Amino acid sequence: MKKPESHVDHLSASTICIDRFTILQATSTLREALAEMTVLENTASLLVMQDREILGVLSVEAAIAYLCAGRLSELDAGILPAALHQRLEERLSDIPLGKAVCIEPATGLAEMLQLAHKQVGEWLLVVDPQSRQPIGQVLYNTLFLSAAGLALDDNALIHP
Amino acid sequence: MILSRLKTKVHSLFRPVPTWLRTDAKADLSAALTVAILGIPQAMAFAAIAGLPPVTGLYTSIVSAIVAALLGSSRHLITGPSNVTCMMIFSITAQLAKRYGISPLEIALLISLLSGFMQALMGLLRLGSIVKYISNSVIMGFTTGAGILIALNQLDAFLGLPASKSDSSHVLQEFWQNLRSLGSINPAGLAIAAFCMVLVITIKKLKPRLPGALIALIMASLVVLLLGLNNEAAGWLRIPVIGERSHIAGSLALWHFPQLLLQPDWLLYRDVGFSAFSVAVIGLIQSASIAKSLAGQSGQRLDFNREFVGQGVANMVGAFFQCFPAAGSFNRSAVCMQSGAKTRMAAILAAVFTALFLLWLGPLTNYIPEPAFAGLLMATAFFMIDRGRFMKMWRTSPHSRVVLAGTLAATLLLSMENAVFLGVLLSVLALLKVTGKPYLTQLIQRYDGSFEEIPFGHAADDRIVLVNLEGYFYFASVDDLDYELMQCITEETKILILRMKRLRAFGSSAMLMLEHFHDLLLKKNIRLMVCGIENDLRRTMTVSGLRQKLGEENIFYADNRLFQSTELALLRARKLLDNEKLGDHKPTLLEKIKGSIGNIGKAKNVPALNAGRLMSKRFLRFGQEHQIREVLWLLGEWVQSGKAGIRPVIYLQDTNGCMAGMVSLWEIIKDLGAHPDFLEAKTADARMMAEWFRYNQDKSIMRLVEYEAHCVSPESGLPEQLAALARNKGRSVPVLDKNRRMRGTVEAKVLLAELLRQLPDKENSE
Repeated sequence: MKKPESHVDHLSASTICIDRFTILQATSTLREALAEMTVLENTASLLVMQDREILGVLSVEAAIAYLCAGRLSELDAGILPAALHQRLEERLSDIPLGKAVCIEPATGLAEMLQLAHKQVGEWLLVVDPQSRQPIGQVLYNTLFLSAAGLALDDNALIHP
Repeated sequence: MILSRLKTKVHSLFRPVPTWLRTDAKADLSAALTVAILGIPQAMAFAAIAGLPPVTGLYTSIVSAIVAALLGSSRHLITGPSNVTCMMIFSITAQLAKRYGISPLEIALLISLLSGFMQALMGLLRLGSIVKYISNSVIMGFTTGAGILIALNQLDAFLGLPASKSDSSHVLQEFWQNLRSLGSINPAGLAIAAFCMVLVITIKKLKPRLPGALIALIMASLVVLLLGLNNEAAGWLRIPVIGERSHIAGSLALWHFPQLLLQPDWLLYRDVGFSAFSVAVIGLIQSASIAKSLAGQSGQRLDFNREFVGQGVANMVGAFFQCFPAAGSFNRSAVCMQSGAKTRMAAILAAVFTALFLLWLGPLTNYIPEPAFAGLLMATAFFMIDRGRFMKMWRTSPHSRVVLAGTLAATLLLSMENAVFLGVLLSVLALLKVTGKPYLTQLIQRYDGSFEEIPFGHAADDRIVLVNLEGYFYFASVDDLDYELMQCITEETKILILRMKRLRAFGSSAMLMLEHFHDLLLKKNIRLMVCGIENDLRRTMTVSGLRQKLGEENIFYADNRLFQSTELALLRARKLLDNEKLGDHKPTLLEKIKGSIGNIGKAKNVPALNAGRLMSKRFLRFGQEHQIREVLWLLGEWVQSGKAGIRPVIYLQDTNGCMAGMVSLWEIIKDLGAHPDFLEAKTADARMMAEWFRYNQDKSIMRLVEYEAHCVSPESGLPEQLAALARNKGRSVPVLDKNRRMRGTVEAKVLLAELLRQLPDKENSE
């Protein structure tokens, strides 16, 4: 996709991203990932890496969907299936991960929202343009405040 | 002493003459001349409505206007003949003149005297506020009816028909007679009448400051005279002129002692008395509402009681100068103000100009063709029937419709004087219906201490029921209220709290009802508490003995801080229930959880992990009727406060407080970028983006509900919650009671933590 030329310079990714994110190696188990998620404060997803390569992201939603897939009728009946034990021990490299959408610090608000709208990925990961290593993430909350602030003409929302 | 007070009063009414001459005289003279030019034809036409000689309209414009201006309080109110009162006079005199064989003018003078006396008395008794009890619907229905009657009444003159020979005294009957003689239409008369009507309406709409009526009368008179249509030679096209029926002489021989005072007829007095009261009330309402409307624009502060006295004395004095009952005229008063009048001298000068006109040019009015007057009055009727305002009022509420239609029908079918009272009666009945039942709702305290108001009977079963009563609490409204209140009682209910802060007009019936309700609750072993008790209600409760019966510990008095006493009552109720539970040695929640360990993971519904236990009460709910714009603002505030979590969800509820759907932040972000141009845009500045983001703002939030939220009950176990969470794409699980009202939400993180606890890893389990 050709990058739109945003004139809203002060609302680029570098200004609204946070530099906190949690990385798990692909060798970790789903149990470890879920345990990590329960203590996360600033993000709802984990970044999964294999050595220095970004493998994908795992969100709470995706993790629960995978964990319970095919077992909903048992859960509805009030039974915790034993199969959940097995799935919890699976490695992250073996389960389907979401795609991390990598953006550069100069990416503008318009492009971020276009990416969000088209659901290209579950996470807006800000990477260093040279090393392609993650340096931060743009939270949905921040993205929302920036867009809603413009729509409502409310500067208080644009600068959270 | 009296002379001295009168002198002071008159001095206070007007500025000293030198000051007036220097500052206000020019403006007042100019306004007075304009008012006189507008008022002269109106005065004669309105006299025709009343069925009286046209010259009496001029007399009323002179004498009544001067006296009312001297004693009244409004700077701009012009008193004189008015369309509504004239129609009422016609309605009354037409009946009584035939019944008693007396001249209509004598009856009109008696009405003027009596109604004036009543008006002055109302002013002296300080009943100025009585006008507020006549609703707009009554006035509108009455005015519209009067407009229709004027139109029907003038139909024969408008069409140039010979005067009706029927004995009927009702306008509708005369209208029927006129329809039967349509074959005798005088085309010349009809043309003159139609010309005058169209000209007056056109001038009023295009150039409202021009004296349309005067222009129309002059032009019509010239046409008739030049064509010789007033001569016998015109044959069947002949048009009668005013002077033929009632000659106007150029003199001011006004004095005339009402003959009915010399020969008292008590039966007639009785009949006239009731009608005079109607005329008095309608005249005062009209004058007061016009004066109020003008004062609103000029900023003048009015004394309605003084205005009443002024109008009353004007009518009483007028009765001795051949004046029929007068009232404020909106047309002339508005023109007076718009023409720049500064003091009440403008009204007096306008009357002087009218007198001068009568002296010098009065005889010329004898040549005004009668159909021209009819055209003038048709235009008056046209403006009186305000279709726009009528329809607006009609659509307002069913009560307005009843009052409006009732008053209109009564005006057309009954006598006009009775129509007003019927309208007032309908208004009172409508009011009683509205206030005849207190408004009941239930209150629920949220986790943050605030209160949520939901429809009565829709709250979840609870041991404490909190009912909010609003409105009037008198004998009519408390009938069966105790049994209605019982409908919110369930088997779980232990304490019922009535919030009575917004109750008004409580009396002994209300106290008896509360006493009976208290007894009903006692039989069911339910405690009654009352809160929000204001001082008035406290006194009533004390003297009725209810305070003693309820017990001081169950009464919570109102405070300046809203809901203070309600919170105290709730605290007290909870404390009482806690004490009661400890006394019964019921197992605590902790004991229940401990007792359930060991069953976890094996079977269904583990008590310690049910949704009621795991749920959080901190969630954002919103009415489903709101627009996306409002949700953006609310969610923005919530996210900024840091209380929203990472991916907040808004829960939508219907007017009954039932769950209607959930919307995640994700859907809202997607919707902000939903404009088709935005998705394809290669460039975007802040202004364009803001425009695109507002694309859907005015639409309902319900459009963002993608799927039906999967919910659990407070008793649902961990597996069920997990299944619902998976179906909700991991976004959280709403917990609903049996009425589908939200009690809380179970968050994904909490469920995950519990799940991991229930499924220990191999090392731990070994």
